[in-house]
Amino acid sequence: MVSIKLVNISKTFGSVEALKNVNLEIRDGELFAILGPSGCGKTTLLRIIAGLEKPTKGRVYFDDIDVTNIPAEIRDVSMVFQFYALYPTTVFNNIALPLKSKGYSKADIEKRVKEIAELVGIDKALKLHVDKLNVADKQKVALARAMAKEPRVYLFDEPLTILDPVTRVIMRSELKKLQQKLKQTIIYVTHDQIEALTLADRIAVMNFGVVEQVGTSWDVYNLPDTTFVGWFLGEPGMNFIEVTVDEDDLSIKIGSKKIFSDPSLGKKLLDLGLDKALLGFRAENVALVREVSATYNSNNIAIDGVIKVIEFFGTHYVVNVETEGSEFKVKLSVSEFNKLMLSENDRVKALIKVDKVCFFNLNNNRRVL
Amino acid sequence: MSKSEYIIQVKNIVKTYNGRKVLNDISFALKRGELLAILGPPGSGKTTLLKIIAGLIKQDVGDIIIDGRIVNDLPPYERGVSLVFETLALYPNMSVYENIASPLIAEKKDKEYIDKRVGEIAKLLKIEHILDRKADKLSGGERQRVAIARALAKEAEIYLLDEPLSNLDAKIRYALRTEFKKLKSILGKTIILATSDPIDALALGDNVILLFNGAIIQEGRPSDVYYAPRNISIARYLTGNVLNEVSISIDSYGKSVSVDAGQEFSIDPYFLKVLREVSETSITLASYADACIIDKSIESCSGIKIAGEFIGYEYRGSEYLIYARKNGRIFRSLRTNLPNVTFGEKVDVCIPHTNALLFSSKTGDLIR
Repeated sequence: MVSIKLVNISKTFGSVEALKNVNLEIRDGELFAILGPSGCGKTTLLRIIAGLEKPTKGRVYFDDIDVTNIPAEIRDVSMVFQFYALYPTTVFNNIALPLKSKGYSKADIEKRVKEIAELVGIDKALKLHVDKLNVADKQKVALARAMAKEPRVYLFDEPLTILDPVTRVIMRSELKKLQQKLKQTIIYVTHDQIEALTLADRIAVMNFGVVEQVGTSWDVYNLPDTTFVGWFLGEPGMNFIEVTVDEDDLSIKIGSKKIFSDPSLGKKLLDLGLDKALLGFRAENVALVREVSATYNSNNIAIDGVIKVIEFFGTHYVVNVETEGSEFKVKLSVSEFNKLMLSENDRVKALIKVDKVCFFNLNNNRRVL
Repeated sequence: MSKSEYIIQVKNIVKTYNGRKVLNDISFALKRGELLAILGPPGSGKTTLLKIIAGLIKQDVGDIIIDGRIVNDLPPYERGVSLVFETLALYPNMSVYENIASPLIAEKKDKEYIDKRVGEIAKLLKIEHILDRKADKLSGGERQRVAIARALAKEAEIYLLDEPLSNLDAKIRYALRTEFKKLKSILGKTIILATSDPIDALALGDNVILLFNGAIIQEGRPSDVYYAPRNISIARYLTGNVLNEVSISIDSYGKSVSVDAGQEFSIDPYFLKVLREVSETSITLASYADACIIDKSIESCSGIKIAGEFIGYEYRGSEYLIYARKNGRIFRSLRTNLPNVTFGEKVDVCIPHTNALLFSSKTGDLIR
């Protein structure tokens, strides 16, 4: 049980800046995911928390105690990796080993191993040699062994990547149940956004050694702080279109073309001192209509465009619409798509829910609305 | 002579290696500007087929007809096709520009033409900014795009692309798919693309050919193949082996019905009538995740309802994928919200008959 604070952490390897002034607060008992593409610095950050790596600059605090110079062995952390490294012996012995080194009595070890094995659901296999286990059960043993160390914090580095998709889903549920029971702090590093969105209480999204945003799954998906977060999350990622605001009539334009929008929106942007911005919205928050003169209201932004590419994904369609040299994607269910009978080069009107729209500052790519 | 309706026709191609037929009587035809996706698992014969079309391998039997002319005896460079392999054999010491230009230099095009052509292609593939960079300094995604640019640099009538999107980061892959499709309509070129990824084939192809063990087992528009897979193995393949399936047995009198997903099930009376009219006694009912409903309790289900256990979910931002299990069967359902249940709790799984696929359990063939 511990809360963790990272203050102004930087790390350079030779001339490479792996981490640039990272600040994070991980709350006691939360499952905190660090998400980002490969090379974003997430594993380096985890190793710094573990004490396996020293930051070039900055401090690491466990419960307000500075542990920056405390070696890994006495930080009381347990790591679980993508590739479990189990001892070639029984499940029981694997879990018992950390307890033995802690000086538990034989009877206490028996009791504790059973408790932990039950918690992770491996109690039926205690007498088996680990070679006899399937991949998921091996990973459960790795988890049980991590628990036997009775750490203050668990550090997970892509532990489920090697599992097949269904087992991965089941293991995620198990992990979530376990965490709700144990209320332990877990830091979970992954490049898999579904994993992070599904598991985490909060997520830090990283890119090029920088933390772009910290927030709940809902926050990072729906209200990305930066264009990177909007682009990185979701399949497809968020749509971005450059717009200008007309200072006279408060209308919003793409290129030279006015789009339909409530004047209050244009005013908000001007009030922020922006006559240019990046309009961001998600492909599933757009409806397409055929009628050129469709009626719309202040709940929607309306953009006229031409269909360039239609892609079928089985469970849905993605329609690429072009307007004034900009392009955006619209995700439609199969029934919606079939109703509209769309084909390439058709003219359409895209209605975007105004409460699902974001605006970003063009200069720094940060969200302003 | 008027041009053929088809830019390319492949007729009865057979290829045998060491007594094993790797391609067995392959025939298809493509219209100008069409994108055909050849979809099949690794080892199904996709690459061999592309090499035969390109003229790098000679078929044992059959004809390749390009623009109305049999090209069986023509060398690769006279066929008007350009082939891109999965293995990106870029020249590491040459710049991106030189890599893209190399097929044009080989064709002895003049410098002005090469400059213009490389510029166009680089713009299309958004690699203008790295034209001066050495190929060995590129990221995986950049390499792929450079390789594609090089393949498209040569002005050919037909482009053959072998797994062009494999080994790419998911984001780049998603973007490149759309680029490809756009490119096709901009250039008006004919493309044959081999892939083992069903999503690539469905999203990109005007038409799809399913190649299993060297034979075409189905062809058609992506949505036709998806909604009427000829055999359950195709449906499984298209979903990456996560098709929702239930086996239903009906005794020969049509009276008793049993389901392999446990005793707790109910079948809508109308649907039961449909099942009884089918002459098979063992039917596999299958559905895709968007056509399956999983919830705490489902009052009315116009198909088959099964009692399952909620085992987990995936949150994808735009939607949830709900997982339930019964008797080792896994069911998946796409929803916009989470059902109000905890892990391990009982849930109802409903497969409505309107969107369900019926297969013979014996042969696996589509009944309806």
